[in-house]
Amino acid sequence: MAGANFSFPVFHSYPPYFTLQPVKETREKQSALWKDLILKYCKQHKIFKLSTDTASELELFHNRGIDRQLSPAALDAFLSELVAQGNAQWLDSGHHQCLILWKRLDEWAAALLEWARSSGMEDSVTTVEELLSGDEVRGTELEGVPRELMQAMLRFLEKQGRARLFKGSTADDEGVKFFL
Amino acid sequence: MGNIFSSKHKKGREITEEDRAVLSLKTQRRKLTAERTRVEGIIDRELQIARQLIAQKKRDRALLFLKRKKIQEQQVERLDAWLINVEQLLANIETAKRQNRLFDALKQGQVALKELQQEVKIEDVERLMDDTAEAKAYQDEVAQLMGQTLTPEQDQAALAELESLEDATIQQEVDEQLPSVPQHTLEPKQPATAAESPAEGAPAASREPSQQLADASRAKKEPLRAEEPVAA
Repeated sequence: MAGANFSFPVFHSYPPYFTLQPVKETREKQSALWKDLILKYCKQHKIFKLSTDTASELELFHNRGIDRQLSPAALDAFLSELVAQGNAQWLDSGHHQCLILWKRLDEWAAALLEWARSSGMEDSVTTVEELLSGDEVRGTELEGVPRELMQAMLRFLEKQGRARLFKGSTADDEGVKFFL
Repeated sequence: MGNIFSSKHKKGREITEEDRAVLSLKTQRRKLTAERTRVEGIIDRELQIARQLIAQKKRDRALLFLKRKKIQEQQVERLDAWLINVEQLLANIETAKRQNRLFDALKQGQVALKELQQEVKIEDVERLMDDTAEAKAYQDEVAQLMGQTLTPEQDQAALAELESLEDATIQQEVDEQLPSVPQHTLEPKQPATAAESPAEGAPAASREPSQQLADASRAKKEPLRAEEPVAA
């Protein structure tokens, strides 16, 4: 994998950073560092979704060298901050699944629109399934995007009037039409 | 303004029946492809079971699985045929849509062209062309007149220049022709002076070239003057 030789910042080797700091200023610093690290790590490893239940399996949240794991409370706090700043989205109310937006939603939506433009999708119908698994997005940055993110992008574009989602008969997939 | 804007945009942004038809076809295509993958998996499995049964010397059972595999293979063929149908239909829809759009564009262009043409009447063009021709004729005439009307002084000056050019030309021709003349005419007529002339000629050759030239032109001028009365 491309991200195999990801180099962690120095703070990742300091045990105190793995528990939420009580002092407000230290905690803000800690939070900023972690948020930055989470986005960078996910971007390099092309991780779109984090599950708080299995987060400790990731090298990111578990430094075996110093035998420290990021506490669940800290993880929840950092992810919630990312959500607040538009770099993440909770996928469930119980905060188990989180969409990590190392590219903000509007940037993703712009990328999707650009893809639609360059591949001549104007006025023609495609399906969400095709966007997710089809050969059409292979080799582009849209490859591997999870359904949740794709839906979010499409809804974003729909709000802007640049796309429309629609249903055919009940058994049909969801259709997408781009307006460029 | 917003009202006009949105209504105008909504028109082209409706989901049409044809869009839904395409969606259904694409959904069917995906499902057929998935089904094909599933059946191919079954075929693989049945082939494997048949191999195992043969290894266990259970020939009849193996034959049964091979027959089942044949049925699945027919199913794959059928699925492929359907898929081709769906693809074909999708391509046809796409082509028809493109043709319609092209036709619309051509129609619009035609209307625009007609409107533009109607703005200019043929009689107007004819009149314009006539006017242009008249203007040109007038212009030519003026130019011609202008060409003829030189002032007397200008005429005089032109004549004077002509004469001086002619003089210069004659002078030049004369200068070029003269040197050879005296030698030919003088020698046979007066043998007495002819004896002198080689004597004169020898020192002449040693003289400076410029003086030789001056001599030659002087020699030429004299016979010319002598001839003039003859010519007149």
